Amino acid sequence: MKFRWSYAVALLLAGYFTILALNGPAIGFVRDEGYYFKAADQYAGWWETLFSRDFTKAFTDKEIQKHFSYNTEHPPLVKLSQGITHRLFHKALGWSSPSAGYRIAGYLFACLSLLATFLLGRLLFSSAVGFFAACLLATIPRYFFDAHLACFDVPITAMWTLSLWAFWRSYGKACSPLSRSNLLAGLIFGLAIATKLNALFLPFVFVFTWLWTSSFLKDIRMQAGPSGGTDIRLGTIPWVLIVCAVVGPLIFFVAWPHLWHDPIGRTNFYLSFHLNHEHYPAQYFGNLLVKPPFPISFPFVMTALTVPVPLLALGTLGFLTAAYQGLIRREPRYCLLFAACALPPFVIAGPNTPIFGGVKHWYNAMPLFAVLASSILIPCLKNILAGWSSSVRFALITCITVFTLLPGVLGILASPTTGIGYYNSIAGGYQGGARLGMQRGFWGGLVRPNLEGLRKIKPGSRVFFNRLNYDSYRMYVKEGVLPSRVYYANEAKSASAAFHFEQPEHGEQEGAIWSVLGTQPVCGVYVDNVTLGQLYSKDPEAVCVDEP
Amino acid sequence: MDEIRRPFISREPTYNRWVSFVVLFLSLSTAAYGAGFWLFRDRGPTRVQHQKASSVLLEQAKSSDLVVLVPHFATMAREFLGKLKPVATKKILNLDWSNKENVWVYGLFGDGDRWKDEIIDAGHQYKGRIYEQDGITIDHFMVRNPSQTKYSFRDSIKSANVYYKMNASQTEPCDRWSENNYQGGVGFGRWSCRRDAEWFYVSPEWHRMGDHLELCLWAHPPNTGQLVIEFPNVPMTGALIGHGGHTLNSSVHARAPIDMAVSLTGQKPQMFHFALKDYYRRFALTTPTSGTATVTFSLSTVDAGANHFCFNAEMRQ
Repeated sequence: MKFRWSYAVALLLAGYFTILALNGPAIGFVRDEGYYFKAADQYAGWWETLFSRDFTKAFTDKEIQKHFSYNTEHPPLVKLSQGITHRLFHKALGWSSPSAGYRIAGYLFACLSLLATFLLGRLLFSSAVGFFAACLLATIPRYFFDAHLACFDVPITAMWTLSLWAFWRSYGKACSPLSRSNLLAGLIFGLAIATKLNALFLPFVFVFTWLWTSSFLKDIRMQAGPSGGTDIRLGTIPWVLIVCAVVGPLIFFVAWPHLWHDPIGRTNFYLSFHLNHEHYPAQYFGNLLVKPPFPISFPFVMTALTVPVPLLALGTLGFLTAAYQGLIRREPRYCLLFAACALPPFVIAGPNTPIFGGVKHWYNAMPLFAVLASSILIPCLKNILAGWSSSVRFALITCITVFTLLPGVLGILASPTTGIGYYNSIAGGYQGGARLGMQRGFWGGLVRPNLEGLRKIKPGSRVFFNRLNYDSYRMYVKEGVLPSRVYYANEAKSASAAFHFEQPEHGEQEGAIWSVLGTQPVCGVYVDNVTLGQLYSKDPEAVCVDEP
Repeated sequence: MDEIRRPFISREPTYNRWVSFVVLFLSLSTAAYGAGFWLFRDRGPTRVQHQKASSVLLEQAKSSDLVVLVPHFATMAREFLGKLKPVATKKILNLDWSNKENVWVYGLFGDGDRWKDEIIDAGHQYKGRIYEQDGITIDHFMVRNPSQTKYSFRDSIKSANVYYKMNASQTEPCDRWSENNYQGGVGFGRWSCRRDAEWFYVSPEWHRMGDHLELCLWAHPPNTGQLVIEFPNVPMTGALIGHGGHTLNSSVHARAPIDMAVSLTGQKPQMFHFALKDYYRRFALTTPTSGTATVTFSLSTVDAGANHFCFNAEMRQ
């Protein structure tokens, strides 16, 4: 039977989706998810008006604001998708829990990111390169963790990569302005900017690749015009750039009803929010970073400490190759890969860019990093095994690539629900990361394993969930993870149980917890004996359910 | 369009054989290293093993002893030793050992061994290892010539006279007494001032001082003037030893250092300056060795914004 890449990709996507869906319930809701659940619900309500008899009402600003005025600091595509999957899989079909209904959109975007990586790798190099790159991306433990969430970072990774693919397949073709490939590129770019802000940096990648590798700038010259004056003669501008510039913003506008009645004012608010984004603290080599200037090294060092070592080594080699081939030899595909891979971390490296603390903000570089890693390994393996029969060669390449993926897979197995705090073997794993004084977790999701321990606490008890937000708490109650008689406390002083997270900037909460509930936790979340969070309680019914 | 079409290449690059072997070696060696790390890493003891080790320590340690957990990030043992208030910090020798008779080091991952020599070098006496099993070590040290605490300012807060000294002639009492501290802890006690009582008060509270929590006197200085805390009838023992500094968050958000003047009745005040990165640094004062005195702590700063200060002091002999 002939090997078909399409089957392999389908298997990879189906497998990834299944793993995410099975593992998802064990992963706690991170702080932002609560907001997005709420937003997705509200946004989805608009569809009901749109498909009702009174559908014209759906276009009035009053009705639009009723549904879209919440969480306007992020574009709508992901939240609309979450609203649809929630209504379909939870409400209509009853196949999923409420939270999984929202998260399924995330699982699908995660699969799309693998597919886009495969497509881009195939377009630039070969199917084998694309497939191995997708596998490398899938087995980054932190990426695997984020792939479960109803958030934006994995979706924008998917759309960033897909935009590059769509751009590239049009870029090299001499096609008419309104060709299908040009329009598809414009459509995907528009959907990308309707996904998350990062996509606004894509034009820099496109234009840089074009200007650096074409003769456009060289060809600009002054020449005598037919009327006797002087004209400027320009070279060819690829149609795909023009189509993206026109269609992209149009799609963005159409996809976000919130903008319809005040496009300039509301777009201005959206952009201003990010230009003046608050600085979230992060622990970095024992220092609590809270305000600029941030160390330029941050995204590079964090990548070096959180990406599985084989990907790091091969990706770095691939990146250096891309820098040489793209910048020095001006080979366009390498120029594209170099720019798209370098830009996200370089943006974060700016001393005044909010760093947020997480690696997720430059995830959109990871598919490119994986493609570059794969573009080094696969051709080298083929070269070494050139004289062997095709079946033996295939088997050996499979074995070697699977072995190369092993550190990532083992890292995921070591932290199936806590990947947000994963550090690679260079750092020394969880222990090494903590020893180096790096951040151990963010945003309250790590509390999940200890929630089971609250099932039997006294009815009416108030629990201080700390970094877990109210909407996430409501979801836990809705899904029966928490009994409805357990109430949400805003601070430790009024609580009979409280969670502490190892986020140093919230150290004062731990102090308050010790004052109110004593210095002895009843339970905790640990990986390799590294403390990620602990539960304190006055109530003897609060117990440690999941003993490590 | 020719020059645009030209670069549209879709094939794998070719590398020479030596480069290919180097890449293969790099791939296999990093994969073996990464996989080996995750397969053979030391995951540390289980909860049950911690419980067993902790029970041994609980039998021998007194509540006045110092228990430290090393490495600082491995604090599961708190679930069993919490009542002994074990401290988990990176620099355990920076803690205040001088008023403890016994110090117990609860170590994982070989950190107990690593600290042993350093502690002995610091002049403390090694009494032996009381537990070594399942990767857990418990070492017992005796502090050489420990001092005795005769009076704790923190524990005597109820007897203090707290006021806001606006200028040389104007004062305003901080005379609202509560049994709870502002964190909600019962029985700690608190003197609140008449204005801005949500931060302008003096009370024993747990605060993160650098990388660990300390139970200390919260004392936020005012925008102008001084926050004054007077302790009457303090027994004079020869030495006033204290620690103070900014909480972790304050150290990165506050804008100005804090000056603390400490004075005894009839003596010139001694000034101590706490910079933002002084999380919990030691300060000391020589005092008479007999009789009693009123000890006054006066706190001031040029910018009170986010200036979360906490200190502790004792009269020691």
